[in-house]
This record gives sequence, C-alpha cells and structure tokens, in this order.
Amino acid sequence: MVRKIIGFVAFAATSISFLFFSLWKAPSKVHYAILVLITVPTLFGLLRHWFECTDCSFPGKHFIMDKNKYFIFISAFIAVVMTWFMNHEMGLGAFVANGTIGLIAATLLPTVIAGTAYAASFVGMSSLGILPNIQAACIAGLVVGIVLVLTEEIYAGIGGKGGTSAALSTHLSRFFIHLLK
Amino acid sequence: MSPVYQIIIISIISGMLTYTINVKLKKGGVFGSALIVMVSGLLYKFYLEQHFPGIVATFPAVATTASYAGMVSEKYVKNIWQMGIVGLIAGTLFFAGSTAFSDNSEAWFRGVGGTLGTIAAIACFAFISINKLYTRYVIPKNSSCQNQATQ
Repeated sequence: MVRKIIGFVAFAATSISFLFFSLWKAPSKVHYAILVLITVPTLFGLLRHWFECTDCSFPGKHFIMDKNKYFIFISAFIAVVMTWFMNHEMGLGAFVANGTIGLIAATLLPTVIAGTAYAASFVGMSSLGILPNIQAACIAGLVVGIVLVLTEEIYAGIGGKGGTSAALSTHLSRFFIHLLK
Repeated sequence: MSPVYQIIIISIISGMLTYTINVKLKKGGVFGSALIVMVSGLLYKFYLEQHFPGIVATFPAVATTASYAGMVSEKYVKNIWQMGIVGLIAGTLFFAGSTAFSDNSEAWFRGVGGTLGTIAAIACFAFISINKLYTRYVIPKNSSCQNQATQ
C-alpha cells in the first residue's frame, strides 16, 4: 500500500506540476482560461483514481520481484539507451527513434514488456541538455526501470501512463546526474 | 507554434487513428501509437520540413501527444467519437500549455522526455471526469424527460 501511495503521489505531482507551471507562465487570458477548464476536471479525475488505487477491498497482489519484473527492468534500460543512441548519435530524431523502438517492441516482445519498453523509450527522447551523453542515458535507463517496476498499477489503462512515468523518471535522473557532476 | 486549428485537427485525427488500430483492429496500444509516431516523424523529417517550413513545425509533436492518449483502455474511452473529444482536449492543452516545454530557458519541462505523454494523461483524466459527470447528471435527466413524453 505504501508503494502505491508513493507511486500515485509522484505521478500526480508530475501531472499537476505541468498544469501549474503552464498556468503560472500562461501568456494570455485565453491560455489561462483553457488551462483552468482542463485543470479542474483533471484534479477530480486524479482524486477518483486515488480512491481506485488505495481501495482496500482490492488490495492487489503483493509486490514480488519475479522474472517478469526483471525482464521489464532490462527491456526498459535497453529501450532508453537505444532510443537515445538513435535520436542523438544516428540523428534520426526523437519521434522516428521512439516509433522504431515501439514497433520493434510491439512485434517481438509480449504485450506487458512491450508497453514498458515503449514507455521507457520516451526517456530517450530527452534533449542533450537533459541527457548529455550515453552514461547519463544509462542512469536514466536504470531510474525508469525501477519506476516502471514499482508503479505497475498507477495510471493503469490511462493513455499517457508511459509518458508520465518517463517524465517523472527524467526529472529524477536529472537530479541524480546533477548530484554526480 | 502552428495555428491552434491545425494543432487541434492533427490531434483529433491522430488520436482517432491510434484508437482504431489499438481497440478496433485489436493490434494493441504500443503498435498503434508507435506506428503513428514513426509515420509522423518520417513525414515531417523527409517531406513536410522541406516543403512547408514553419507551417507544421509542431506536427510530429502534436500527432505523438494524441497517439499516446489513443493508447487509453476501452474501459475509459468507449468509442471513436469519445476519442475525438480526448484528442480535442489533448490538442487544446498542447496549445495552452506550450510555455511549459517551449524553448524558453525557464520552461521546467523543456527537452524532458515524457512531457507529451504527461499532456496525454492529463487529457485522459479530464475526459474521464467530464464523461463521468455527463453520464451521472445529464443522461438520467434526458432519459426521464423521454419517459415522461412517452407516458
């Protein structure tokens, strides 16, 4: 339960920080009004999802680091490093790199592992300002692997779960890379 | 930044295409989204960038955002028209929230992988809430009015 609560809070903080930063920097009243109109139902949606995640009558499975989770972790790490390499070293661009990794994963891997590999590849789409070299991409690969293994139920079935995991992992990686400098 | 109507149209079409591949053709969300992302990326890199510079500068990013939203489960988005509304919300949020990831050095999400997916998740949450309110308060009123009319 503690794992789910921490996971939900981290995911929600990523979504809310995007909305609040956009509101704070809104260039006009029209932008501001649109953002308020989207923020209010989003907060209600997050509240509803909080009750789903913390529903004690459906506690879900206990966390066990089984073989499947090791595969998720390894595929996530490989997806980040490959996407970063195709994006920055091969010069294919973030979208072509991400699409290629997604198609390879969807064709070759089982559904759950393909989903996590695709989600992890979003991290590899980061700019050189965030992940300046392959070592930084490796650190981000480890971070997103851990995040995806620990937060299986959070945002499940919501389009954009992978992106939110990736954004959270990229922010965490940025922090760790900054510490290591 | 492309005009808002271009962003919204691209977003709706991309979201609906991904949803069709994901749910209707049963090829899965990863395949559907990756296909749309790759096609939009290739189309932009090898054709649109040379022939229409500036006009569709945000084309692949908008298509990608909506395609991530199109990975949503059928449990939350029941049909393609509802997916069109999710695409509309995602496109509008992409336009309104662009200051958070623009080329401004103060932008907290600038260059952060996963930003487009975060927009997609927010659009899905907003839609789920609006749809929940609609089915709880608007549909029962309409059905009771119809019942009174038939009696």
